[in-house]
Amino acid sequence: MRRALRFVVLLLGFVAGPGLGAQQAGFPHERHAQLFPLCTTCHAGVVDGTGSVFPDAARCATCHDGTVQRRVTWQARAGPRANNLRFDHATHTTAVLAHRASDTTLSGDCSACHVEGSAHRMSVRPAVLAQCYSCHETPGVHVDAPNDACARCHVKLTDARLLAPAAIATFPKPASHADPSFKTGGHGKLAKTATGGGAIASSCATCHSRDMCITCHVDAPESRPIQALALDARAPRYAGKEPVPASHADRNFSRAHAGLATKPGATCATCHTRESCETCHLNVPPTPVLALAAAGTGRAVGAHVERTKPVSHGWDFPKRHSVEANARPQQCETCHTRETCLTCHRPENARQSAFHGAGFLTKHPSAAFSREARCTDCHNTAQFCQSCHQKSGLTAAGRIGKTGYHDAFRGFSLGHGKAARQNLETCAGCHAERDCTACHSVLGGFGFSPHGPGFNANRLKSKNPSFCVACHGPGIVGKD
Amino acid sequence: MTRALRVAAVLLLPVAAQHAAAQSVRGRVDASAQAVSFRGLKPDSAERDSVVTTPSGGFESPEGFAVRCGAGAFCAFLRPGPVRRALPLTATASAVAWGLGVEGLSLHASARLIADISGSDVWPGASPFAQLLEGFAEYTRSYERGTLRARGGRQLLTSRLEPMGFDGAWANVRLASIPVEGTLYAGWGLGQASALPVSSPALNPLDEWRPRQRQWVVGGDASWSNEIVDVRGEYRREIDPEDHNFVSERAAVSAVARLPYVRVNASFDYNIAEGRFGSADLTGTYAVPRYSASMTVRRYRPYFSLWTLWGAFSPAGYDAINASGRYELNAELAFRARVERYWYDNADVSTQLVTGLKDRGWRSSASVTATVNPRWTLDGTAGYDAGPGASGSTLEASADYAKSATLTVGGDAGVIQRPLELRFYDATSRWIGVHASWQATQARRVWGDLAFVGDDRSRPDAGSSSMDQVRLRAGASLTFGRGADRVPLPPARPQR
Repeated sequence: MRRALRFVVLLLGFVAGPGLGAQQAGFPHERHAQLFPLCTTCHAGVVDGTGSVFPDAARCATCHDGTVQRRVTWQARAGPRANNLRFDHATHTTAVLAHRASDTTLSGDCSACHVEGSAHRMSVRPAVLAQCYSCHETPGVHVDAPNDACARCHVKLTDARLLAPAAIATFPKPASHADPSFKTGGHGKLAKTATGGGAIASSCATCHSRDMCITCHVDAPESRPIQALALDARAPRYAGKEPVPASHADRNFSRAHAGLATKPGATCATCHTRESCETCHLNVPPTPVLALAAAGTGRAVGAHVERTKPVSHGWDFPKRHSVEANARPQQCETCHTRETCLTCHRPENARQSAFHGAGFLTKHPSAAFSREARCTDCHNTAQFCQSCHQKSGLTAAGRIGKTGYHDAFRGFSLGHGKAARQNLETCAGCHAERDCTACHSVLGGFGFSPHGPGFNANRLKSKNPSFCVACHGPGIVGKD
Repeated sequence: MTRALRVAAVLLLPVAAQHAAAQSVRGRVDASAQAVSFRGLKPDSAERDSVVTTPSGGFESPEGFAVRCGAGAFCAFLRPGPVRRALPLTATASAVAWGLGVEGLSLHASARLIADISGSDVWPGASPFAQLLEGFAEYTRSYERGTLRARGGRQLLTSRLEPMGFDGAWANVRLASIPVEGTLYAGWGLGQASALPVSSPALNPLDEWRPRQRQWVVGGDASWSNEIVDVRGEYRREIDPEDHNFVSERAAVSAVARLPYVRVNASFDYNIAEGRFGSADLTGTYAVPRYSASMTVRRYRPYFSLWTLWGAFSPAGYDAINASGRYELNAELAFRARVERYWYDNADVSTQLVTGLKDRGWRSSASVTATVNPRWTLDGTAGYDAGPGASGSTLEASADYAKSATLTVGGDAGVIQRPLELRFYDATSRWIGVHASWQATQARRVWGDLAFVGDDRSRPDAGSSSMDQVRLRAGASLTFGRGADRVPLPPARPQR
């Protein structure tokens, strides 16, 4: 009995061996039913486990000699069949005997696995999957078997070295892969095993290698489940579009992402390398960015972030940026280095001005008068204006009116007050204070008061008395 | 340092910086040169006895120059000055380095070499030869309660109270639990908009009175943000260390509100030392991809430090309202325009001896950009400024051709009429030029432009002048270090 069962099991395994789910092509078993009452006539090797499981081709020629029957050409397969089954007859037999020794349904009956239902004994086909599921208690559709069920029959893809890429590409896709949430997080949950740690679900390992994971996963080297898979270039790579999390579509995401990145459980590292963030974070990267892995081998390239100008940065933003930059300078620092600020706020003398544009030297008087922009935010009046005006012969050489520069109005030196108060910064581009105090000073001048409405002498004296002493002398200190 | 050595230093800086590239250093070097000429005025005089009276009642020298005669024996006038030529050559290097063994520590530096290699010493700002724009160490550390950032060294402080450089310490704390942060800083200040202290001779070309010591500066700010609003308040005080008098004491508030498609910005400063408000502005901007519109009401009041006397002359401010807009008719055609109207405060002068001076003005411009195809872009701008002191009417046009993603060439031309209000001086300039830029690699770029300029300055006397000139500029920029050339990223797959 035990020997008969072993025979049946071995024979079953032999037939199943070529590949579950694939119809065996080749030998027409049914036409030879009358010739071979026993499967072992041809497949003795299945029983004893030592010889070939296939008959010698010469045995076919006994009948197929061209006289009795037409000649046939047939060669037994050399070596194991290319598949990813864990199965071999000897192991399977041992296992079956250990667990189902008393089950007589398989006794002396290869048909138990290789014949469907009540079909004829020689209606042989690859192992009937339903029989496998029945014995192995695997419910449902084959590819949708529970996570750990796959490993009962299948080895990891990376261990199935004989499988060709074309064969791998035909693997069926489980229904779970069509779930909308599968890409963004569902597959990660399924990949985790009950034991956790550094293992990965056999359902993943049966069809995938690490190559699939590192198409998207930037954090592959840090992910123990992913590292549990070996690299194997035969395996399929992810060819779809990497999904963008819903949070990224939020209008305020660019502003809110820093807070999300610092929350526990943040998943930025799945898709973003440090370089990805540094596309915008040009300065020394913030701490969450430094915590990300740098781009390198063994991990995905990662999300390629394209830096886009905020909608606020319109054509006249350079002239309007002051308030936004002052209200929250940290926001500017995410995209701009300090060198960006220095480009204008410490202008380089020989470089084309990024702020003013070409030819501004010729145009500058109308912009400088009345201060279209605050010139002093970027230019030192003495170093930039006075220095150049001096070389151009425009600076005053003494008391106003001496050279007659302002000749468009007769008597301008005596009636310059309105123009001076309204454009005092421009006056200071050519005139030294002493040009004015020559008249507007109590000490050595004519004592003409330069003080206009709103001049708070006492307040200024309390802040800086030397301001007053310059024209009024030290005696002004202490007076109201 | 000899001129040759200076030129060599400027030229070698980019090379040296490139070789300094390291895994944890990122930087940029710009080097540029310019050949420019300009022509000003030269004081002259004529014997009083030689001047003649014109039909309008003025005086003219025998050569026909309008002269001003005082009590002496000579009358003064300004004749067209000599053509001054300058060849400024500069190199600016900026670098930031991190990964120094202390997590969160980084070093930042930005320095500039500049020399006028023409030897004429006419180009402004060419002294001193080497200037440290910034150089500081920064330490950043995140805690559960928030983030601390601290800096020490020379740094530029961007601020509503004018950007300011100082040598000292700066610390910023950002809280994690509430969107609040605060900053404190203190140190020795640099001159306004300069990398030099106010006591530097380079900041005193007219030999005016200057403080002997650099001012102390201390200040701070506090800000609050949420997803819609940013508000920041600042305070800054500058002290003269010699007599402990105030150089300035000011405060400012800046605020931004971001609503769907709309931004509202507002800011103002208050001069505590003088006891009055300074400049203020309120801007509303509506922006969508195809068009945007902004409107601003603002007040401008000049600000002077208390070590100058200019504030004692009660400078008048002005109020302004301006609007600007952009409209993209389609992918090929875009229009832009801006206009501003401004009114000065009453100067309240007691001697109204000169009448007819302008106290209000307009500033405006309109532009159109036509993107003929991905390679050709045409641009035209018309501008009109009319206000106190100076006016200008401008017409400019340019055409740019992107031969490839890395090479662009173009040409531009324009004309400007620029009359002055306080001097008989109607200048007209016309120019035509070409420019090119080549991004040799992600990290290297060279550029240059050449312009022919015709400059005519008209006066009703012999003081008219003209000067045709050629302006040439060229420069190169390179970035180096980690992240300087980050596209494409390294391959993810192991190379087998």
